[in-house]
Amino acid sequence: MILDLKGIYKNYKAGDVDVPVLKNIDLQVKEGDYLSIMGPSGSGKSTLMNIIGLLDKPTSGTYLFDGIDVSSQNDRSLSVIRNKGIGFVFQNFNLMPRETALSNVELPLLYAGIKKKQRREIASAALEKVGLADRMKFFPTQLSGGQKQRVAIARAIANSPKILLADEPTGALDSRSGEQVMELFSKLNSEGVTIVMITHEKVVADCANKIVVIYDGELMTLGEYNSRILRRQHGGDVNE
Amino acid sequence: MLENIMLSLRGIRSHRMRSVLTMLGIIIGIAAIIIIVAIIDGATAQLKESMVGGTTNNVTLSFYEKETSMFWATEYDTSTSGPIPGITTISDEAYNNVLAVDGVDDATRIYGHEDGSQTVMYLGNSAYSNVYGIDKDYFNISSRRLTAGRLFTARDYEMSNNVAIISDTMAGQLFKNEDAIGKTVQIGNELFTVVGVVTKLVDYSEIQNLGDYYMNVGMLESIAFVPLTSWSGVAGYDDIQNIIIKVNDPDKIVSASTAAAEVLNNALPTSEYEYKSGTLTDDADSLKQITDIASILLIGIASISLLVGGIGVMNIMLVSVTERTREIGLKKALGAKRRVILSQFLTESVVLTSIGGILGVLIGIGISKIIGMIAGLPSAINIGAIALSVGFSMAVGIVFGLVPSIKAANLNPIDALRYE
Repeated sequence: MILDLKGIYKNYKAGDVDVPVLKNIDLQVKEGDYLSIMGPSGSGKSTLMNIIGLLDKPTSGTYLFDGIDVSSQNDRSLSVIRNKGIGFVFQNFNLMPRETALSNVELPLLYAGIKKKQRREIASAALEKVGLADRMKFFPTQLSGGQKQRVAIARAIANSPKILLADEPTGALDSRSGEQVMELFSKLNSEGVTIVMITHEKVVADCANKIVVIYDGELMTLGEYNSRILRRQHGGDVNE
Repeated sequence: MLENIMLSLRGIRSHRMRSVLTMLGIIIGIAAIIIIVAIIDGATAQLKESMVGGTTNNVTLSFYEKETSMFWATEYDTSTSGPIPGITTISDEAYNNVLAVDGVDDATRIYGHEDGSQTVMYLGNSAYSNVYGIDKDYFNISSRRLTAGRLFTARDYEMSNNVAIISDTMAGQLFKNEDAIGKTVQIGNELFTVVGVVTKLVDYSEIQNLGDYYMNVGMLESIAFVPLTSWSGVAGYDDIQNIIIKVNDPDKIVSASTAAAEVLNNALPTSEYEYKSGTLTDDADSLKQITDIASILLIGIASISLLVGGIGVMNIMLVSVTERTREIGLKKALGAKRRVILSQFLTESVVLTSIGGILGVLIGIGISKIIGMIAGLPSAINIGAIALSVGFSMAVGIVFGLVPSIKAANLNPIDALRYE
């Protein structure tokens, strides 16, 4: 089991009141899984993503990453897990604007303490894998949105992480580029890369092998979500 | 580390205008320190040279009345009263003790009244002058050089020959264009044969006060030398001996001459007189104190400019951290440890101030050279001050870069990633 979350709660303080954002989340992700987490905005999916990505800590509950209880880890070891265990793909790419595609991909390898020559080789291989072998020396401003996202994916897989964590990876792309990115994800998954992807688009979520929905801070299957929506509509819940 | 430095340089280049403005405080502060140190060093060197004896480092220890600090011959009328009772010439023992004083390279005993009141006559011409009775080694210490004739021989000293060496100024006064060598002149009550003419190179050893300065350098340098052993023929009695000491280190002039005077005074019977180095050495000492105080003050002001420059650097670094919040967040998400972020910003800050420091040194050297040329001061470029300045500007970078760097390192990655 790569991700094993049990009874995760996350509260934010708004003044004196604790606002629950995540309620009793249970989530397991096995090696080779391709999971989509769907949810409307404000449902808590970004918070869940941050917790999975070790950028945020849950208020309560246990989270084992590849068998390691992350709540007992200090800042330094969390950095190491993020570096070697998780590959991030963001909606807005987050590339270093003044660095070439190759240097961007090298960045996590640099933090892993890999020597320059080897870094070059691994980063070049990763860029080849995403089909950008001819764009290595290009700066982000010289690349299209789809190309930028593929550089970001190359960066995410450079350290051969346990899991690829994607937050709305197609959100800033036109549909053609979005499709290319999803094709790339499927290809990577078929090669054994575990993927967890957050999206609010059903078409995108459908690319995954499994879909879960987060709604009002609770995690549920797509079926449970649909029946809940139906119930609400019949109950005349005006808040929805 | 090298990677960080290259990264910083790239960052600085991409914000050229901002970086230069940020560095300005450091540049001005460091340049000011370099200029101040150069000018004060130069001025001090010039003062020392013109007041204490320049490269020769000679000091005359003369006999003064304790109470009035007046030169003894000014107070005591030798022509009627003869020598001061009980005071004899400087003994070999006292002389050797002076030689043993720390900083004293060489010493020579000398007679002379230094008041410019003795007349040297040749036929109808006469010159008011200083006459000195000198020892065999006088010309080893003095920077006067023979231009005609010869120096005194051992035989001159043994036989107490009435021979004289005169300065070229006196030769001009007495003999006009005629050859001085072999002429007979009257000094005091006796006749002396001129055997040599000397000229003065750079020698301020005789200068003890401003009066001496004008007498020796400013107006006339009418001087006659006779052998020490022939002095009684000039003064008519056993006179007070002075001593000229040559000090090996300009910084030891005051300490060495004070110590030597003490050695001489210990050998004297109790009297109203004592050996003292001239007042100018004291003046030089207090002048040095003044320049020291001035340099501390000015460097203090320059340091305030550095401090302000440092705050400017901190300010810009804080702006830079805010600007690059997303970048920091991303780097943390990619697994950069806190230390990596800290060292990245700290390096940037130190590179910024170091470049500022180096530019400041270069500008400072340039300006002090220009000032030196205009004011005619020797501008001494002090390697120590340069090293210290660059080191200091690096330290400013560390001190004022620390707060922004810690801020960057402690940024919460989620907040940082979300930052627009």
